[in-house]
Amino acid sequence: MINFSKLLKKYEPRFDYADIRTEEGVSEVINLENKNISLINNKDFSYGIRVLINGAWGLSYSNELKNAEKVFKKALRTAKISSKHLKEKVMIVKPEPVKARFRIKIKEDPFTVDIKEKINYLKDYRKALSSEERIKNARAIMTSGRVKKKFINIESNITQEFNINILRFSATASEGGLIEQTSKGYCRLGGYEVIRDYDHLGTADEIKKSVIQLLHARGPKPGRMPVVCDPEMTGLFFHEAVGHACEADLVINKSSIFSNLLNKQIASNEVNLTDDPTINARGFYWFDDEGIKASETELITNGILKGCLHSIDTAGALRMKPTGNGRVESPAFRPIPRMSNTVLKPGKWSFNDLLKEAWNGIYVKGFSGGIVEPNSGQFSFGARECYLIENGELTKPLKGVTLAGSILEILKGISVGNDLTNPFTTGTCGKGGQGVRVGDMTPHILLKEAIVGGND
Amino acid sequence: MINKAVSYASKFGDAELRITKEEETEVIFENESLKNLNAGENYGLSVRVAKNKRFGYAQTTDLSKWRECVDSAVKLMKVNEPLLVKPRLSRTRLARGFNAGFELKEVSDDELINNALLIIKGAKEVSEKILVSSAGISINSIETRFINSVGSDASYTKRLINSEVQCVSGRSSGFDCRTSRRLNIDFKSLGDSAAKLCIKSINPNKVSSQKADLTIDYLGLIQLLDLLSNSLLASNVLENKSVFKGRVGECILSSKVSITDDATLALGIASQPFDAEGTNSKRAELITNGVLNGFLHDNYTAKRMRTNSTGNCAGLATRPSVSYNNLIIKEGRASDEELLNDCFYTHSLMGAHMANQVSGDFALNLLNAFRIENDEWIPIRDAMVSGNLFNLWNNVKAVGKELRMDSSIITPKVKFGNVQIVA
Repeated sequence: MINFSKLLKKYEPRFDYADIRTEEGVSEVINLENKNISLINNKDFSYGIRVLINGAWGLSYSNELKNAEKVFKKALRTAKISSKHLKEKVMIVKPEPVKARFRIKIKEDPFTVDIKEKINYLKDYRKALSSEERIKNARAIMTSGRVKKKFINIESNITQEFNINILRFSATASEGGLIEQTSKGYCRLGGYEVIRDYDHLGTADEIKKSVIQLLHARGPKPGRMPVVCDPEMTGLFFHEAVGHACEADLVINKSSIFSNLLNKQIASNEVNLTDDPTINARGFYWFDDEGIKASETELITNGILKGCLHSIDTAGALRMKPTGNGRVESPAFRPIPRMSNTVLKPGKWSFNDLLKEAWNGIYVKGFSGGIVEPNSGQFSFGARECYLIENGELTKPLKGVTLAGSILEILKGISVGNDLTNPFTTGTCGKGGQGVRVGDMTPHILLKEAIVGGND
Repeated sequence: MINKAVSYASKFGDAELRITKEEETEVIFENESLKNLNAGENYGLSVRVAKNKRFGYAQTTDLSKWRECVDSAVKLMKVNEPLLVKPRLSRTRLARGFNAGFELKEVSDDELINNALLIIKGAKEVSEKILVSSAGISINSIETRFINSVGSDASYTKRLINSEVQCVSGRSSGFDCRTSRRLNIDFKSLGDSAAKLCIKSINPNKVSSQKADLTIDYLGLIQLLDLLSNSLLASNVLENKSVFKGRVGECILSSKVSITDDATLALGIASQPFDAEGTNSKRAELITNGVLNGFLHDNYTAKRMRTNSTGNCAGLATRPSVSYNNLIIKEGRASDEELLNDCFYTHSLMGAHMANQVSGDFALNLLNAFRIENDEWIPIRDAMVSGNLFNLWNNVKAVGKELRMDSSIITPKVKFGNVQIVA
């Protein structure tokens, strides 16, 4: 087994800073679709070595441990080549020395649970849908994963072990030439007990009702209107529309609509937003992938933009403190500023008051995806479920609803609900070709006016 | 190692193994300054075993643990439930003559950096207002070897070069990319193209909701075609997730639309001599003048639908596992003058992953979009296109005559009629 700390010591005279990330993962995926079952077992190991020489980064990676010396030399070589072409030197804020080990507490190891029991769990979902003839496709996927991540530099050695459970359910129904699909996901860190605690048969009922309802629902009348968002959609909205624009690399590259707006009023004064990797949600971690301790970061307070999310080199460039948001998809990638869990603090409005305030508009529940163009501030979110609001009351279901708009216009007209929910969604955020797990904890909100699109 | 592994796995049933080695070098510029030069390698072993209609799958990145990987697949196979049919294993022909694209020694790290600088130069020459917020080039080399228990043993190497650039000027931005299997990318013109798009998009206007003609360019169309491809996969037909089920021989799209999938295309981005389960590559005529000819298959869907695999197995992990290779829209006759006249135009679309893949309902943001009136290009903002994917492809007004291939989807520009613009 390679001792990476010794390797760092050996090459220390040749770099200004270096860090090594390793990741060892095992996962078991059970994929049930109608009568087909696929069972998949994955075992992965990889490591990445990053060095800084004369203000230039070099990175090399592999999953062959025997090549570690070669990989280190390649990282040194790429940094040296980079240093010849620099316009601006990279400045970093070095992490404090830490030696620590962390592990998610579990009651029941998912890898010791009989696989037949897991298959039966998914079959129960399929069975619960089988009474509805119009449902032609039932799909359920259970993923049990364990990831051990190590961060090593000359002074630090941090090990973090995460157990991640993911359930995904979907159904497709058809009737008289119409065809519709809906889905729901659930993700929690912990042991198999979180799967046992989850009401998958309740989800089956919810999905059955929802997909049949979609068959007969109409699309929305496109245009601008008030929109009430449930906590899941609220989480996505703040993640996409605000969180990305708060990532310091985009701010530095003038690719964020918030680039010159620090300490300015950008949202209604009801908006208090933070990024917090320390809460029990999908984006949880103890330390980021650059050895910086996780902590809550203030982003918007009473509608005023207060901060952004940093890696060690964006903090160095702006002479600020790292926020513990330097993250990677795997050791093959360079750390960049990423969100963890997006938290919107509760406001004063009850759900019914938000509906009354909207009066005529739509209510959206859950999401099918979202995307933002951080420079222009344009965003787009797909709703999983949607209802018309008429005279302050929920009425007919709608299908195929997408919300769009411009961040700076929409943020000024937000009312915040007084509830707070952790929807335990399965969100993976993509940026720069890297996907990382993210979560949220948010109340209902009202967007005073958004563009609503769909197939009328 | 792989010979030992297949011999060991064969003791338990039909065995299919795939081993890959990927090498990548990537250079990234941000804010016109070199941000990172990365170089790395990844190995992978996939094992699928099957007996009595049951199968199990395992993969690892640690090749020395091949026996453990085979054992995992066998363990899963034993507890799995039987499939409806047992597909045959492919008898792969040797992949002689497959063109790797180029040799890695032909591109040095310094050259890669200099080419990225050319992208920036091309952009900056358009206007001093341009900031190149990111520019990157990556070289990928993938070696694949497939071996199974009926004697197939074949391998190939494939190389790709990808480049992309994002320019900004104030709140306006422009993105473009190039991908090739040869070292023939004009990096300066890539920068030029993204910068011109960015400048052209400055000071966009709001528009009102309306029905109008819309011409969609390559980066937007690849999202719409990727969405459409879901309904052309036999796996989705068998699982009742395709609106095209039972409609072979019917006219399902505009007669101006012909679509093929062709993994044998010379130097195609997704070309390969055989698919993930060793079936030699083919060309499949999916839609001819709007009429549906058939679907894309792997060995499992082919057996269930009593036909032959089209060589579209995307991986060994699930059964079925079907995806397109090079999806090609046949070029039409329309010139840019016809396509870009009295209509809306969008360079790209945002949010295709949120569309309903089964029903085809969608609402997508237009990105770098314009209203073209009397040859004048007026930039627009806060606009979406909404409707149904299958209706959209039934309302094709014109198909361009110039194909573009910067991904595994190859298509010219397409003009759609009477599209709902939401603003």
